[in-house]
Amino acid sequence: MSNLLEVRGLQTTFQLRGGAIKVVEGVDFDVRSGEVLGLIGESGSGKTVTCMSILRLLPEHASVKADHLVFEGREIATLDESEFRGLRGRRMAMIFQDPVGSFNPVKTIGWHFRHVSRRVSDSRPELFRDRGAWKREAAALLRRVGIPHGKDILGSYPHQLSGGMLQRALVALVLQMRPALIVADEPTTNLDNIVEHQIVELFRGLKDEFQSSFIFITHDMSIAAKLCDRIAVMYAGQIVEVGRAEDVLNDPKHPYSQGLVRTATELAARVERLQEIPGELPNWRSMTGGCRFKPRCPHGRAGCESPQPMRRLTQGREVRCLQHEAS
Amino acid sequence: MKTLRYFIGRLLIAVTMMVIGALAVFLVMKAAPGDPALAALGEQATPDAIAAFRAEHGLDAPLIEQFVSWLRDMIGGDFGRSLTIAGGESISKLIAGRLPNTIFVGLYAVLFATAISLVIGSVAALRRGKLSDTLATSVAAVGVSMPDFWLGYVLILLFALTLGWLPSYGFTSPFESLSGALVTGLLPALAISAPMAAVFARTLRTSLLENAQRDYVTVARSFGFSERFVFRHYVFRNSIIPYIVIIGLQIRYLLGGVVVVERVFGVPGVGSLMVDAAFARDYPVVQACTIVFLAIVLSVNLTVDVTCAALDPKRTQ
Amino acid sequence: MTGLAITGILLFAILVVAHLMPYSPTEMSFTAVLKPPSWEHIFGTDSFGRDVFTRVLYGARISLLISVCGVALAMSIGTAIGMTAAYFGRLYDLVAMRFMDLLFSFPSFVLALFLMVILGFGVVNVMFAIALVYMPLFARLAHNMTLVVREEPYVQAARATGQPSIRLLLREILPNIAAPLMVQASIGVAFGIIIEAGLSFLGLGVQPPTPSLGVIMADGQEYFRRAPWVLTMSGLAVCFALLGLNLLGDGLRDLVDPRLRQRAE
Repeated sequence: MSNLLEVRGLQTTFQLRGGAIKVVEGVDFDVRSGEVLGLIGESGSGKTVTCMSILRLLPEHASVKADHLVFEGREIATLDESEFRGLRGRRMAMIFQDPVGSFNPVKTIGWHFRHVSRRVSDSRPELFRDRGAWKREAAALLRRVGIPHGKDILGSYPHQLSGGMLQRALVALVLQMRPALIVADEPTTNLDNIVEHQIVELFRGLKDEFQSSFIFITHDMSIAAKLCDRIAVMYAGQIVEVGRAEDVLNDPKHPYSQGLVRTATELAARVERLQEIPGELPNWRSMTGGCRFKPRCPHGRAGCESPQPMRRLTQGREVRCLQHEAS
Repeated sequence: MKTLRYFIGRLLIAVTMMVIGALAVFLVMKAAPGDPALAALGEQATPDAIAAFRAEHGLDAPLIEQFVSWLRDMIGGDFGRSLTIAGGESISKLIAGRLPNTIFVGLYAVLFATAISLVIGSVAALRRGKLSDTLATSVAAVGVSMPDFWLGYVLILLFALTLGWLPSYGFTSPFESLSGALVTGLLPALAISAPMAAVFARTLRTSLLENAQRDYVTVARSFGFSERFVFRHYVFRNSIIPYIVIIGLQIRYLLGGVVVVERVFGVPGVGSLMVDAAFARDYPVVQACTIVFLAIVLSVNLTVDVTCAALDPKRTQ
Repeated sequence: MTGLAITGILLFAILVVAHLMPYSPTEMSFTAVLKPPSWEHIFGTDSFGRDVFTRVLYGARISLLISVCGVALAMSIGTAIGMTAAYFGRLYDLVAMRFMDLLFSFPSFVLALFLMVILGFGVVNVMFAIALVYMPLFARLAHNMTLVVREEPYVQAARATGQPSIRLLLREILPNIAAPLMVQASIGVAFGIIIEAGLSFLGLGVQPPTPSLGVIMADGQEYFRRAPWVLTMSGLAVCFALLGLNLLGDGLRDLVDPRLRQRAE
């Protein structure tokens, strides 16, 4: 299994009026071909920013640096904008959190499909083999994601569809381009539980059918458990634990991951009182060089104030915590 | 089909407003101090002459009757007769002769304003924060602060008196000579359009900047659409509606500018007619001109409404 | 903030500098007729030998006064109508706001002109004209904002405690809608000056010898070809005043908007 994407030393800085803030720092991870990597963490941990940095979708006041950013065997950090644009959508794409705001309100769904199909007219010439080909493909995809009347939907405007339908349409839209890497940013957060369940099932089916790799961003451990092959836990702009899904979920090593898993289990077991992880995310400006979780960690000890690197425990299993010395 | 229903609904509202507006104008005019009979015949007129005048013009009938007959005539195209300035001329003929000129200059001005503002507004938004943006916004701020008739004179000073490129006075009707109208109408249209263009440009810029921040722009870029494509189909296309709405709203001010500028440049339009009539206390003419202007505003509003509805799927579906 | 500076300079000029000028606005001098701008006469002189700059300073005072009074009148009546219509609702609301819409449908200058014909010319009538032209705007603004504020908890609470409506309107609602109204007011004064200048320029507004800015410009129009500076410079003064007021309005709007949004959240 080769690496589709290799990220080393990713750092994203936001230039704000009060000064510069390093929102993502020292992030390393891989995405292997055909796998689903879960990126877990609470709001504000930097999950979305990390992925948007890789796709270069951040606004102007953000600067992204990386030691090493290899995608499909190519170093993409040094590509200029027009070369990079060739990758967007066609090779790597993102499904955003809010489906309602993601569509152009004055254009039909079909319009979106048409232009997205044009993006891949060279890699998928079958879409333009005859006049209605892309439409048929689109309708078929829509059916596949759970929208039965694909053809009618194509003629509708975004405001006529529900959030759940739009989310699915967005998934279909991205799939039309058959990218190698798909980032799904909390695709279930804005939807109610029933629809959430359906979307999770949808993704489960998709990952086998289409040979794309997924980065699945979520703050919900239970969803991650159902979908992901490997999991990376993020906290305050850094990755704190990486490993196979079942390993991280059953035997979390980092105190933060432990807290998350515990909460998820308690929720599932409907425990009376949830044991909170005390404290809050650190203020970006007041972060010191040491372990960022220290203020909330029950196991803090001397040495935690120094910067903590990722320590490899076994092949593919790493933790950023003093308690686990490298073996 | 739905657009048609929408249009008819709006049309009915416009017509109702017209009628009520006409009634208001009529009543207010009647309530005005000053006897039209005296104004027409002079202070020395005998009571008999005044009575005769009254009877002739139907001024002694009950108010409602007067209004109804006046309204009826108006719908039939007859605005009555001018009392003083054109001595008994049919007002409709007067207005009909002048209306095309006013509309021509008005449209010309709107054209200028739209063209100028599209350029300035887009440039300012695209190069936000840079020199061209600051320059454009400053020009807009200054442009808004200019009384149009003053600008008219400055333009005359510059282009007519100093450079001699354009005539400083007079207007050729477009029916006589289109090129003549375009030349003589250039300065008046420019004068009126400048403050308008400034407002439009500012609105467009704000709208463009707002829409550029929206989520769908990020999503579009994530698909790999080019910046030009995104600007055209996402940012600009979504900004066009508030822009058109503002154009519609500004028509009221534009028409006000037309009135004075017609005077400055000697354009024989409805505006200058109204001014002359105002001096001469020719009430029926003033009344008729006011109504005509009201009609113009209402029709423009209707057009803007329908255009926006057509462009915005949310309204008609 | 530049707006504040400019308006400040303007006010200073018309209030203080005017008195310091060696010339009087009406002092005629037949030796200095129609002189172009110079160090002695910054804006030149007019056909009666009067110093244009001094006239402009005094004229600005008058124009500003007329406009401010007109807008103040528009604001009081318009806001009152808008607020009460939104608060009490039903038929009164429908009729009042429809009437305001109708008023708003007339081109502003045309409406002002119409009124001058009805009421006759003169300073006070110009004020009324400006007031009538501006009233619908304030009414609409006050109306829309009152509709929003009416549902706020503190208003409901005051209602529940049995506060009489008028008091409620004045105490609870008015302070919360005042800010955007002030923004509108400053822009309104700017346009009021344009309307006054236009009317007087045509001869249908302020009548000479009262030297409002429009009257000065009308004067300058007569001999524009020979001595363009009278009209040009007096107009420039108008521009300056308008620029200051508009920028002030913009600045106020920037101050007000984010706060308004915060309140809504």
